[in-house]
This record gives sequence, structure tokens and C-alpha cells, in this order.
Amino acid sequence: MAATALGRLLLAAFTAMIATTAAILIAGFFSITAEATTLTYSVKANERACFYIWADVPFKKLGFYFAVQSGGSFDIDVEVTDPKGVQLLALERERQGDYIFTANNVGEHSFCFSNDMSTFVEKQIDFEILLEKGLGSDRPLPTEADDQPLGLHAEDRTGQTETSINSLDDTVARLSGSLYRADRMQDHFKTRQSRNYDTVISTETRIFWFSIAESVLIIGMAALQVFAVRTFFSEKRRHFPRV
Amino acid sequence: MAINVTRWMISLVLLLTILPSVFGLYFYLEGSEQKCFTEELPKETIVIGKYNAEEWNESQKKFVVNRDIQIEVVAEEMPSGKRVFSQKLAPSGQFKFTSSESGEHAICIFTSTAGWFSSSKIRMTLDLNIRDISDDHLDASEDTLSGLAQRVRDLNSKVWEIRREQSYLRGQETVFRNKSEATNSHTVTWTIIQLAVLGLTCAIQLRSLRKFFEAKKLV
Repeated sequence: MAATALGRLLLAAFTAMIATTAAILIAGFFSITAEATTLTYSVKANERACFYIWADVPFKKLGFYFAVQSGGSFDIDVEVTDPKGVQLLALERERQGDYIFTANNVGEHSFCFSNDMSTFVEKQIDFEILLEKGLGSDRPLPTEADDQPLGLHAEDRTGQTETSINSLDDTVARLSGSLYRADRMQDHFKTRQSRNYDTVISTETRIFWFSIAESVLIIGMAALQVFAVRTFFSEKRRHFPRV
Repeated sequence: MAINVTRWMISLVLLLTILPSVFGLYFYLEGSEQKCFTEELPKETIVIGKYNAEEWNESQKKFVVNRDIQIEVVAEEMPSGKRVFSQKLAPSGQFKFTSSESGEHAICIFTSTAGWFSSSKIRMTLDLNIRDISDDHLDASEDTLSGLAQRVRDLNSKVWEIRREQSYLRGQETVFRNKSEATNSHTVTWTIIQLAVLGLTCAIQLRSLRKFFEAKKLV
């Protein structure tokens, strides 16, 4: 009696252990957190800079974020091409963008920035390219409207341990999504900060040069007036103008 | 069934031979061309860069790791141009340096084997990781952690990154506010100078005209 009870207890404990490890492995393996690379690069005038990423499995989600940090009117030409040469995105003179593509084909995807519109101004670009980790899924990467938990759920088998692992996994996934959004919001603030600073510098320069120009103009006009009055009373004229 | 499996295996092996060795962002370098990336780094921050350089081999018609090429990584502080880090490394591996001052840094990567190799095309896979100096111990135990713990660690480093950017933004905002206030006071200064110029010009103009009329015996 005791032996069978002990046996049953051991079996239950063993099943629970296997289920927990399975749940952790599944949750980790199908993790939706993407592999991201954030870089800041200065595109020189008339330069075309391309960055590539290799999608190894079809139907993975590719996230692409870029923002012009400084230079000229803060715009750049962007082109995204997939391995078959199909243009996924072609933008002209865009300030910033946040896009998600589905990489339908396996191979090299290219993200190109071209600064053809500037003759001497170099543009500093902040960009981030994310590739979904794992085997890909049909769930989207976190976006503004997304408030759903992002992890896939393991099958509920033994109840208590499963749900605690699940809820932890859900919490971590939700945190991950929120942090992603917070990071993205911060990137927007950084870009706006850059632009505002550029505006202030431009304002300062304008005030200075316009003041100088106005002073020169005043002095010039005064001299012109004196000269004009002098010519009215010059000896060359026969008579004085009637006032 | 067996044929399908073999076919799948063969295609996988073929695919693996042309794949970049590390899945990540990569770009191409022609000859001794260098690509520079700017990063805003606070004081005493560790930057770890994992890279993998493959050279185009004409005979094999694919990108292979060439043991002979040397990759040079240079990190400089932007405004002053002071070199924080400069090292010649093997074509595949990682580099690590610590920033001494807080500010904008430029991290440049290029091939240092010059001369007759200048027509080569290099595929450079790069992954930059910026970490706080106190988190350095994470490097050793990375592989042994389970999936969930690893994700929590990732979240931790993500939070640290957000805070790093926040302090950078705060510094930038201070500079912006100072500049803004300076511009505001300059508006007043320049207006006063302009009024002074105007008044002076007026006075000189009237005086010169009066002298002229007195000379002409009209006043």
C-alpha cells in the first residue's frame, strides 16, 4: 500500500519535472523576442550605404526603424530589397519610419540609405533592424496598439507549476513588449531633440546675420539720403527746388 | 521518405556553405574602405563588438574566412578625436574597450592589410553590445542559463540601455536649454545694438546736413 502510494507520488513528481522543463524549453525556443542591431551611421554626401541581414527561414518578421538625427532638412532616401530583387520599400526624402516586413524568401535582404540630394551635407542616421528569433510565427512584433501577451503557451498538463511558468513567461513577454515601446518612444524624443537643437542654432545664426544686414542697410540709406539732399542743392542746378 | 530527407539535408548543407557564419547585420567593405558608427557612451561603459570578416574567394565563388587578413578597429572620441581604442585583430572574434569620458564616440572598422589586396570584397558581420561596467560578469555564465532567466537578463540590460539613453537625452536637453536662453538674450542685445546704430546714424546725418546748409548759407 505504502509502496504503491510512494510509487504514485514519485511518478507524479517526475511527470511534473518533465513538464516544467518542457514548458521552459518551449517558451524559450519559440521566444518572440527579436534579435536587434541598433547602429548610428553618418551617410556622406552622395553616398549610398547599404546594410544587409540574412533571413534563414521563410516567413520571419523583419522590423526596420530609422530616423535622421542631423543634417540638412533631416531627410534621406531609403530602399529595402528582398533576396529576389523585389523592392519591399522605397521612400524618398523621409524623416523617420518604423516598418515591419515579412521575409517571404530566404536570403540576403538589403536596407539602403542614399544621400543623393545633398552636395556637401552628411546625414547621421539612427537605424535598427530586427529579425525575429526562433522558427518564425504569425504573431506580429510589438506595435503601439499591441497589448496582448506575446509568448506561446505550453500545454496545460499538471496545473499549478504550468500556470506559474506560463504567467511568468507572459509577464516577461509583456515586459519585453513594453520596454520595446519605451525604447522606441525614446528614439522619437532623441530625434525631435536633435531637430529642435538644429532649429535653435539656425535661429541664432539668422538673428546675428539679419542684425548685421539691417545695420549696414541703415547706414547705407542714411549716406544715400545725405548724398541725395546734397545733389538737390548742388551748383550744377540752375534754381533751387521749391519746397 | 529517405530521398526527401537526403534532399533536404543536401540543400541545408548547400545553404550553410553560402550563409554568413553569424546571423546578424552585415555590410560589405571594398578594399581598405572603412565604415564608422557613432555611439553615445556614458563614462566607463564597456563596448563589446562581435564581428566576422569573410573575404570573397574567386576560385571557390563564395565568402570564406581568410586567416591572412587583419581587421583594425579604431574607437575615437568625437569632438576631440582622441583615440580610446586601436587594435589589429584576427578576421573573426570580438573586441572590447571601455570608454573613459562620456560623449560621442566613433567606432571605425576596416581591413588593415593594404596594397595589392585592395580589390578584395569583405563581408563584415557586426554586432555591437554596450554594457555597464558592473554587468561584466554576465559574459561568463551566458550559455548555462535557462531560457527564462536569460530573457530576464536581456530585459535587465534593455532597461539599462534605456536609462543610458535617458541620461544622454538629459545632457542634450541642458545644452539645448542653455543655447535657447542665450539666443533669447541675443535677440535683445542685437536689437539694442541696432537701435544704437540707428540713433547714431540719425545724429550724424542731421549734423552733416546742418553743416552743409550752414556752408550754403541757407540756415
